[in-house]
This record gives sequence, C-alpha cells and structure tokens, in this order.
Amino acid sequence: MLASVGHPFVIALPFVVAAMFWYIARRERALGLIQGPTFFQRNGTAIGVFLLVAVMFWAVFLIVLPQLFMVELSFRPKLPPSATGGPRDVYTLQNYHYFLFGSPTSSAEWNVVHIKAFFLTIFASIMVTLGNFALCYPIAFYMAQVAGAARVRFLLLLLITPYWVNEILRAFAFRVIFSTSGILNKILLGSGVIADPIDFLGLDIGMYAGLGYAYLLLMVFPLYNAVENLPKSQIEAARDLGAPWWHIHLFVVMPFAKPGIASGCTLVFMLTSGALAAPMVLGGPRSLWFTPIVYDRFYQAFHWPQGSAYAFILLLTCVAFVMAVMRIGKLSLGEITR
Amino acid sequence: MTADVELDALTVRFGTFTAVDKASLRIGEGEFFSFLGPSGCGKTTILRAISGFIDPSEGAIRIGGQDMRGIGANKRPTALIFQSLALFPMMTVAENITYGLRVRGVSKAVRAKKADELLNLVALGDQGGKKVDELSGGQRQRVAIARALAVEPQVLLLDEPLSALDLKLRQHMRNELRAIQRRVGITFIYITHDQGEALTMSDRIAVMNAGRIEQVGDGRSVYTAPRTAFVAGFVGENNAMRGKVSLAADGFAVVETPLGPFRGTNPLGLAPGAPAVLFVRPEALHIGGGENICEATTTEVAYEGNLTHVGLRTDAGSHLLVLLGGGETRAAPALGARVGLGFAAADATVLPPG
Repeated sequence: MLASVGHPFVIALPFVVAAMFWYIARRERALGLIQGPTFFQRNGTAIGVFLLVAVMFWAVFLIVLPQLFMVELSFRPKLPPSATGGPRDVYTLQNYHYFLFGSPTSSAEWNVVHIKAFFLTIFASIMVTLGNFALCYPIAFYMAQVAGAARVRFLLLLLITPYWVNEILRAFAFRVIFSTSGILNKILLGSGVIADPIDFLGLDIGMYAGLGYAYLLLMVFPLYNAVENLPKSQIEAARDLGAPWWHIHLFVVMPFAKPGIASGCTLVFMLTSGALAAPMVLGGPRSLWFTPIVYDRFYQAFHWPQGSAYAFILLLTCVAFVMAVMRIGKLSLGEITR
Repeated sequence: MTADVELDALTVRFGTFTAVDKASLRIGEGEFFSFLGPSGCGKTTILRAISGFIDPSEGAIRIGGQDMRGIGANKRPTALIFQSLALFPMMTVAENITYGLRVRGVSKAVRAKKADELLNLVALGDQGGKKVDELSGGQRQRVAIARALAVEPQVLLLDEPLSALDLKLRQHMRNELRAIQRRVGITFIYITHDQGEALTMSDRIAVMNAGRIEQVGDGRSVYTAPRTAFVAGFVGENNAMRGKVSLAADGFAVVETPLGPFRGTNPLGLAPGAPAVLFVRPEALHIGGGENICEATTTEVAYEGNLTHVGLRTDAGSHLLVLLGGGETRAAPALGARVGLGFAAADATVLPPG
C-alpha cells in the first residue's frame, strides 16, 4: 500500500473520533439518556468555545497527532526526501523486522544486542520500581501517619528542593559521587573499608541509583496521598486484634493504599524504562539501556522510521505490562487516578 | 474466659496536662462497667491506657491480676471497639470478623466456622460475603462487635460505639449489647457521655470529671445518692440551690438559701457554717404540699405525653425545673401562674459546692 494515503488518514483520525463522540452525545440526548443543560448552556458560549478549542488543540495537536505520526512513520522505509511519496514509499514492517533480526529483510539471525537491551531495560525498570517502592513506602508512611504537620512540611521541602536542579545536572552530580575517584570511593578508601576503589559506574550501580532517584517523588506522592487517607484507628484496630507491625502493613495499610501503590509504580516504571539522561550519563561502558539505542536510531543512524518503531515497541510493551499487572492486582484505571 | 481489671492510682499526663489523675478502682469479672463523663474528662484516655495504646505516667493497670506494664496493645487480653468502628473497608464482613484469627494463624476452615458462629451471635446471618460499606450503621456496629469478640478477649472495651447511630437504633443496640454481654459473660468496659446509656446498661458506673473519678456505684446509687456536686448535676437533671449550712443533725442539714431555709439529707456530714448546695430532682419537686415550701412563677410548660416539664422562676431570680408524671400531668400550672412548690427532706441532698 502506498504510504501517501497515510498522512491524510492520520490527520483525519482524531477528528473522526471526536465527531463520533459528538454524534453519540447527540443521540443520547435525543434518546433522553442525558438530561439537563448542554455543555454550552452550562459554560456560556464564549467559555465553552474557548474550552473546546483549547482542549482540542492540546489533545489533538500536542498529544495525539505527534504520536500518530510516529506510529505511521514506523511503518515506512527510510528514503531520501526525493523518493518520499514515490513508488518505493510503501508501508512495510521492515523496521520492526530489524529490531528482531538486525536486518530489514533477512531472518537468519536474532538481533541479540537490541533484544537483550530491550528485555534488560524492562527487567531493570521493574527492579528500579520495586526498589523505589521499598524506599518510598516507609517515607510516605512516616509522613502520612507518624509525623506532625510541621515535620511533614519540612520533609516535603527536603524531598522537593533537589528537584529544582535539572535532570542532567543531577545525573552528573551522581557521576561525581560514584566515579572511581569520586566522593563515595574517597570516603570508603579513607575510612579503610575497601583497599581498592570500586567501579560503581562500570557495575551500573551509579545508573540504578540515578534512575531510582530521578523519579523518587513520583513514587512518594501517590503513596503519601493514599496512606494519608487511612484512618489511624484502622491501624490501631489491627494492632488491638493482635497484629504485629509487618502484618498491619501487609494486610491493612498496603491493601488500603493499593491504588496509590499502583499509581506510583506505574509512573516510575513507565518513566524509568523511557529514561534517557541517567542511562546516558551514568551508564557503564558495558551497559546497554534501550532508550539510548532508540536515540541512536534517530540521531546516529538518522533512521527516523526505525527509531519510531523502536520507541513504539517500548511503549506498547510497557503499557501491556502495566495493564497485565493491574489485571492481576484487580485494579481499574479509574482507581489509580483517584 | 473473663478477667477483672484493676486500676491502681492510674495517672496519665500529656505534657503538663493531666488527663487522668490517680484513678483507682477494680472492675469485677464479667461486669458491665461504664465510665460516664463529659468530653475531655479522661474516660477515653483510661480506655486507651487499658487497651495499651497509651502508657500510664504513673500507677498500674492489672488485668486478671497481671501487671500490663510493657505489654503491647497486640499482646493484651483486651479487644477495643472504636468510636469510628475502624472496620477494614477493603475486606468483606467475614474477613473483618476473622482478621484477629488470621493474625493468630488460625486455618481458613476454622476461621469460616468461627465467622458463621459470630455472624449468628450478632444476628447478621448471611451478610458475611458483603463489603463493609454495603451495610447499614447498625449492621456495621454488629460487625465491629463480632470482630472484637472473635479473638475471645477477656475484657471488651467499648469507646462510645453507639454515638453515630440514630436514637431508635441506639436504644435497640443498648439492649442488644447488654444481651450479648450476658451471653458471652466477659467483662465489658463501656465509655459514654450519655447517662441514659450508662444507666440502662451498666452494672456499675464510674462518673468522671476533669481526669478524676468522682463516684463509683450502680446506676441507682449514682442517680439517687450523688456524693459530689458534679455527679448530682451531670447525672440526670437537678435543681441546685446554693447557700450555707445553718444546722446539722441526725444525717440531715438545713441550708440557708436565697429562697429560705431548706432541709435535706447530709451524706457527707457538712458542719454548720459550711458553704453548700442543696440538690432536688425535678421529679421530687411537687406543686403544692411538701416539707420545704417556696413560691415561683411558671415560665414554661412542655407537655410530652406521659410527662410534663415545667420551668419556673423564683423571686430570687433562679430557675427551677419540675417534672410532672402520671396523674400530676393534669395538674400542670398555666403559663405565668404563681405556684407553691414543696419537696421532702429525704429527697434532697446537701453537698459541698464543686
């Protein structure tokens, strides 16, 4: 199929969907399923039009269309500008094929390097997410249930202030801490704990620490919100019924905070698997994170269709993974966003 | 199994504030015991100290003769029913009830059996599979009771558990609670600011004020024979007349009040010259006859069917309340009428001012 039909189709798609929703709303009103004032009656014409245009612009031009173009691009071959729209510009799966086999056409060998990096990224993101949860849960619980209001404000300030520094700078700061001649090694050497410096960056410890730290707040806040809503009397009731502290956390606090836990873990997992700065700056020479590979598709190989395909694979896998975990945890999307 | 509870000079301080001041008493095995007092009197603090959520600053708590010092809330033979009930919203009714058993590692089969048993005890039969928020207020109340009883406590502690219910249900649950207590036979310690609850349910009541236990006794003695001005004023309605003791003999005293000299019982043996308050219950005041007579003007008549409340203002400006019951109701004075009031000396109590 010629790719020239793609762009009009992609541009039309969001508007067709919007029109369908509009039609459904019209039908429901006609059938009496919706009653009361209409959108424009409620908000007034001027504000109604503004809301409609602003939200449409934001949703369609800033979110949906760029993503759809990327998806569309991922199914096209890499061509010089002169050949674009020509007879060779047809939809193809070769970019996805390349991810699996390291060649646009041959299926002789698996693309071990990329596939390995891909699964390693997913696995490492899961580990970073779990580590982040283990670190943030006590903080969130302390802030939500134990500390007084003044202490909570102080802690929030301590948590937030470092994030005023931009992500790249923070990543380089971690380099200063973790490099072989860095602060951590100096302390360990000076205090005589180790005799030779440890290559934290080569062992990827620096990268995992940086990744974990990068999205710490996105774990703390949903957890804090969820745990804060738990009445203290529930913890006391469990204790009164004989529960040791770990049982209370496992069977009373965590089930109660499940939406917050899911929300925090989803955010951290998604952002970690797609993180670029920390892996680029802190990754050891042997580590192969998937996002720098995607980045290289775009800017080293100058193969935008392939980069799009790679990015799309990562996105789809992450979404599928999160959905699967939520299904297992019997959680709906609505609960997470509560 | 049940156990007695002994408070030995129990004192709880929060900073410089003394919430409970040297409370000493013994609650017998299988007794329904209430702490009655206004909010902030320290009754909840006593309950939380018994359950182990607050450490006493001084003094001791003994349950079944064993000192509870250093024993955590999760290790005590008590179960607490919270004012908010504190049911677990993410668990079903049956899971709530058997939570304490799950903590103790009781097998699933035994837990299910126990849940059925307790659901029947609190008349919730087939509601075990429901979520807590699908139940009504009264049903939730029963779940909280069943959950506490599931761990077979020797002492059940109840922190105003009926306060969230409407009046009808509250009165019904009073009887229910009392019946459950008789059936399980364990010690119930009940906290309330509602004297009606305390009087109808309890074997004995401790009336508390400002961290101190003012009086301990059964409902009848607390109501008819108060030993402090606070108890006389807090438990039930009372008419108070201030004055000075002018004569004291044979267990009676005469108090010189702005309305004249009145005679009443003198349980504390106040001597002549001592400042005193004479208390007369509204139902002990009668229109017309009596030993102690004064006059007053009717300012309010509230007819309630079986009872009539009559408010009066004396010439000295103080207010009196008369409760007319039965046949007396027909003799209620008209608004603005001047009436003579009287009461028997045996129905009045002379106490030192609080």
